[in-house]
Amino acid sequence: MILAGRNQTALTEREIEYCLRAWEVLCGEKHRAIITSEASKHSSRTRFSEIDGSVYLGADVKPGNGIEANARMSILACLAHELAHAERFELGFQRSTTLPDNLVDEAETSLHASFHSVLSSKDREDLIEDARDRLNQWFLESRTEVET
Amino acid sequence: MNVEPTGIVLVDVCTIQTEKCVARQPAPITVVWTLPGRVQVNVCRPCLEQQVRLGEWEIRGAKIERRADVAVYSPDNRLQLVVEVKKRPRTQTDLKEWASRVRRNLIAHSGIPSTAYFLLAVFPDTLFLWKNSDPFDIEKAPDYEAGVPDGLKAYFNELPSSPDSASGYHLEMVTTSWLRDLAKSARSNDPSLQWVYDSGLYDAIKNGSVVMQAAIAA
Repeated sequence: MILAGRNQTALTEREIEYCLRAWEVLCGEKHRAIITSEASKHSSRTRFSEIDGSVYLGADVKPGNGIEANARMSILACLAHELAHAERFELGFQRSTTLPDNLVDEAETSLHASFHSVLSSKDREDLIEDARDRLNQWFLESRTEVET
Repeated sequence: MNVEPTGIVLVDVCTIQTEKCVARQPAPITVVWTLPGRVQVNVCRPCLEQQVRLGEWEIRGAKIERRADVAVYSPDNRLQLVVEVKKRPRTQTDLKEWASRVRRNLIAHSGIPSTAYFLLAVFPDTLFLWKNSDPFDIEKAPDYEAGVPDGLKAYFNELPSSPDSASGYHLEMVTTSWLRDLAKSARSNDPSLQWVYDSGLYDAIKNGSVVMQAAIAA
């Protein structure tokens, strides 16, 4: 999911354990797999794979030093975003994988995630702001495409 | 009551422990504040959402899982009726007011889809029916309040315990069975079903299909 500015340092065992708990809280009754095999690697990415329908935990699940909404989003909000990818995939939404249209899908996913019941109001705001930033980026990218 | 999720994750026992609870033993849960007063409540996600479904809690900006305890489709496969099955609350004095709050909460948090009819079955004794129309009135009082029809009472014998103490699952089962019978039946003179005919519900679901614990896509 991640744009620039989030954590890149490999997660510790304790951090991975926390993420597993957060994932369990988000999923509630419906158990979903989250794969942690890459999380202890530097610069690993948190992502949803349509191929195996699983979420992969990465170093960038943690916020970083960036100032944008995406960079400061909490672990819970980041995982809610990935859960939203999984739920949208099950609903039959086909993701666009190319720029700039994947930005719209990411924006929709952040909006979807922002409604999750366990999120704090700050997490909701960050996800909504993230959606706005991605749509702004889509306009910029689309304009660039037309001009070139 | 409004509650405010904190986003905190910890391992503890869920304070609420509804039928859906996944943290009766220490398990990952979250923390919410009740407002006003800011009392901390440790709660698992299923219980958090169940409190919303029960009309007890509201969470600003949140949606809950969209599902129907029982869903009834017309023969052309259009969702006509969503049923929420509940037990009579122990502390509630005004049942009709409580029923309206349950429906309001379900709609406000997207817990049920917009359908022509919404039935709140409050066991052991009362059914509330809303006939929805545009524009959708979220605060609307029920259009019909009725006792449990004889056809539904007949299924109480199949419950492993009295309707007061039966599980939500068993109450959903008997409601499903009754609605299946109703959808297949011919119009009768049964006075306990008059509200079903007057409201148009019978015509809407006649020869339709009945599904228990239906997940309904947004």
